[in-house]
Amino acid sequence: MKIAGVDLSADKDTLRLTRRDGRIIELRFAALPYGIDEEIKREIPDVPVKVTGVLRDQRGKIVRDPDSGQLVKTTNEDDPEHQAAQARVNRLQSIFMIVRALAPDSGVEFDTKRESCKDTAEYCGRIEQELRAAGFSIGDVAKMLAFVMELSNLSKEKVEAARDGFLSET
Amino acid sequence: MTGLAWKIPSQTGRTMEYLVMRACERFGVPPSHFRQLANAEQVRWLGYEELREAEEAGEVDE
Repeated sequence: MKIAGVDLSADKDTLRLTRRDGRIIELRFAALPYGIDEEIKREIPDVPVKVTGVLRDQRGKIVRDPDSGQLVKTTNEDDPEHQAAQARVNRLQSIFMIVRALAPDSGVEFDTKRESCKDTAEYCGRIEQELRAAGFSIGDVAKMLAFVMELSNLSKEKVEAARDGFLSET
Repeated sequence: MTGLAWKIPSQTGRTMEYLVMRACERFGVPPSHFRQLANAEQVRWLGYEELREAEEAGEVDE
């Protein structure tokens, strides 16, 4: 069904990727629901930020919040190790989104099965390896992710088209 | 985080989250129920909510 050029049934769309040998791969993605972020965080949690100590000034004196008087804690958020771990989690979360959005495409089958992995993070890590082994570049994965995000977006145009769909033409 | 870029659909300038809450209030379901709907059904609910809000504001005839 199309209203004002907006395809309301288009919660699915096809991404065409050109391979190095010129072949075109078609991937049919389904839009992810609003609120998927919560599921993603539940399945693949962000790396917890650890408190590493309390903030001290240049003389070594403990700094307190001027309003609350509480100690100001320092964290490992900016540590390269933490940032690398979080970057990996972000990548796995992206793969999770792609896998979820590809689920209705019966033409896509991954060798890795969820039940053979101890958790979703391991599953997505192995899917990422499969994609790499199949010749998909980081750029291809980024294109897939951007496509899914655009498709899943509850945009003003989509909602307005749905609203106008309730109005009769007479 | 990947962060889906949810845009603001409401003509009233309120956030998407607000529109979702209004729709849930109207349908008498918790937001957790809404999040389990397919994307197309979510869009349909929000379109209905927008029309009902416009009707209640007298912008369109009921």
